[in-house]
Amino acid sequence: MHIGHYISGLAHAGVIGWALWGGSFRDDPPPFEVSGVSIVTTEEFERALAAEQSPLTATEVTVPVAPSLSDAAPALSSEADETPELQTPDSASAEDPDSQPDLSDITAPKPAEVTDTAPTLSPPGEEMAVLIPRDQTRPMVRPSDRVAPQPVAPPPPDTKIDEVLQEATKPDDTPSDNVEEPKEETAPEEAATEIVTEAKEQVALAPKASLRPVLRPGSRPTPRPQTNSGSAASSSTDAAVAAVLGEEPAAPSGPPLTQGEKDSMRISVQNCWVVDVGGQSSNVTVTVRFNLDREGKVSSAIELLSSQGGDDRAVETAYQSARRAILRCQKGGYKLPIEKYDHWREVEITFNPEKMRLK
Amino acid sequence: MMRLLASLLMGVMVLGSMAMAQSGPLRIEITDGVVEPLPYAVPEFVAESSGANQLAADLSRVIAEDLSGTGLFREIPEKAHISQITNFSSPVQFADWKAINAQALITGAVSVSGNNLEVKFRVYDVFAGQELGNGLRFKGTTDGWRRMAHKVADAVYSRITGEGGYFDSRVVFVSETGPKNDRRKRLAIMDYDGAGLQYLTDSNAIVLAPRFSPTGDKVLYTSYETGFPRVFVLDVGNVQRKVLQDQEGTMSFAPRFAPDGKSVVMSITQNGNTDIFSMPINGGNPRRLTSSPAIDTAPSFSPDGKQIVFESDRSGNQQLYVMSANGGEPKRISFGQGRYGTPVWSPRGDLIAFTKQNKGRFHIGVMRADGSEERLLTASFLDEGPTWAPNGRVIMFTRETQGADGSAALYSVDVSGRNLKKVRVQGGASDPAWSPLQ
Repeated sequence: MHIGHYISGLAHAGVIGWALWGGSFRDDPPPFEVSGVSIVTTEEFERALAAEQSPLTATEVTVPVAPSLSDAAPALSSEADETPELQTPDSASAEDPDSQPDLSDITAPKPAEVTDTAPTLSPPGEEMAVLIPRDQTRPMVRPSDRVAPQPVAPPPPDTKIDEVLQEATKPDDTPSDNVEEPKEETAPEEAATEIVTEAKEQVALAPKASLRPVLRPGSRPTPRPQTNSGSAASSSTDAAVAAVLGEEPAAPSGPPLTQGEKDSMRISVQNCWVVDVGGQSSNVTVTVRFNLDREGKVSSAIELLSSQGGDDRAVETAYQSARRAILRCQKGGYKLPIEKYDHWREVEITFNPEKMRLK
Repeated sequence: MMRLLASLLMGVMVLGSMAMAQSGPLRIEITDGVVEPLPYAVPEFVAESSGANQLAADLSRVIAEDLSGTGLFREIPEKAHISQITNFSSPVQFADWKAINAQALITGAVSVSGNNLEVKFRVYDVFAGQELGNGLRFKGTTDGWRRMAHKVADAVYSRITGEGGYFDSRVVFVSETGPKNDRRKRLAIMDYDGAGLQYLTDSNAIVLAPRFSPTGDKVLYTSYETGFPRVFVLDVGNVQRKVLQDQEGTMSFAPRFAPDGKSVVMSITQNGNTDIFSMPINGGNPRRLTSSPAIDTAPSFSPDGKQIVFESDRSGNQQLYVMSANGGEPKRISFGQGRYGTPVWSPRGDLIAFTKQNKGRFHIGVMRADGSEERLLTASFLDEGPTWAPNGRVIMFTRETQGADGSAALYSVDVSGRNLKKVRVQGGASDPAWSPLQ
């Protein structure tokens, strides 16, 4: 139990002894560093300063004298220039006109075969990378942990950091008498001329390139009928624009709809969903699908996706009731956030009257 | 350890991003709707011939009364209409009807030629901007204009609800006159809405429980004209009647046709015991279906004719039982408090309506054929004798008021328990039986 105390006491005693007798408290001051000086006079000092002054300019620049303008108008000669004589060339001796050329050897070119059928445009692939031009921005300073007057490229991996740049000794096939001691490859540490802070960093959030959205099955844009008036370049541009406009993104972007936004849509529709609780249709659950435009209005047919329960007539009645609810309550359009349009462009609603069913 | 933690963190982040990235369409489930009548418009039908103006107006009114009377539809008054229908073939201005929130629009035209009447109509789904089904045309005589109006209303009802209508039907019932201690009863028949009342018997004898045949041309009923209750069959067309069961020393009552119309079931009391028997409509020996010392009565066939529901007090209390149409051991289906009686199987086959007496009050109720999901639709001093509309959607019954000057009247109620209303009948009325669609 007292072993710790003994060890601590011994250690303290050792330290105190070393401080007293080990030379830490010697009276001898440390040695001075002595430098030699010389005394100069005032004249010598001024001469020395004059010698360091910049030399006088030896070249004198003459300022050009501005020409004096006389107020008198210059004399103008009104004589017309003489017309130069033009020498007409001698007319060539006209010979007899050429006789009718012999065209028997010349055959008219065959007319190109033209069909009325418009070429079929091959649809673009399901996935296609879009080329984006390279960045034209100025090169930026590479961030580094060390700042130096000259930037230093990052050394190769497994290189020892040293002030001297030295290549590693490579094995030589030819034997030599002077066997050089193998040297380790060294290089200065990576450095930059300035500190690159986070504020200066340009964070590229947008992707450099993206895949073309996958086409929705059945929604492939129909190729526009080609006309003869457009050039090849314009037609290809039109096709590209049409393709872009006609395509829909494969996956929605941006944050999803909140539960509150979904509830808003649900309440809007359910307020118009009239349930005939005593009818056979109250035994049917239907799921319908439709598209909304950006104003929140139904922009497509309301399809019956699936149904559960009831016979065909009951299913049809339940579907019609659901359809009427969606159409009636859209009014000026369902109020949904436009920035999340990709999330509500297509809607599926299940109308389940089970809770309202008479039991 | 650190790698494991990093992997877990990555997994959580990936799952989170997957949850955040909503893929596919916006999916919503709606489980609560509204129960309200569907607004519709029925502008006055276009008169396409001289002299058809009044009929056109009357037809439109009857159609509107039929539809609105169900409680499932609400007519938008003509004063609120923006568009006027002056030509049956003109295109419909859907925007005008949307503006007044009409979900359905019924247009029609009437033409009269001598005694012949022609009615044509179309139904439109206003918000879909399209016609519901094709236009229809009915031809008849001017005397039958109400029936033609009911037929139009049936077609409209069927197209919107997906179920058959019940407007072109009739009700046979017991017409009652006089005070309670001297009540005079006779058979009467009328349209389902109380119009076209006709009497089938005189009031010399007490009559009870009339029942239509499946084709609506015959009526079974019980009469005391011989001093004992006897089952008679009456031809509605010529009002000729004959006794169906006339066995000496017996009483017969509570008859009902089989769905095929060829046989009849009824209760026969013999030697003080009441059991259920079946016999051909054309006569013959009754065949016993039940055999118990209790009172078995009020039999009613299932729509497929394979089963019979009836009431019996064999358990010591009046309850409902179901047995095979050929007899056999019955199965009790009612187990609630009180007494159950006068069961009637729904034309749909899914429900059985009944009268229930409990704690001094009477109820009309429905339950599944297996006795489950019992629901009471009414409650009063005396409600009894339910009968189903041809589409199995509405129940008509007798309600009698309390006191010495109390009287019986016919009421109807939707199977959902909504739209309870009194049927317009001149005088007192009881024991209704709904006919099939004509």
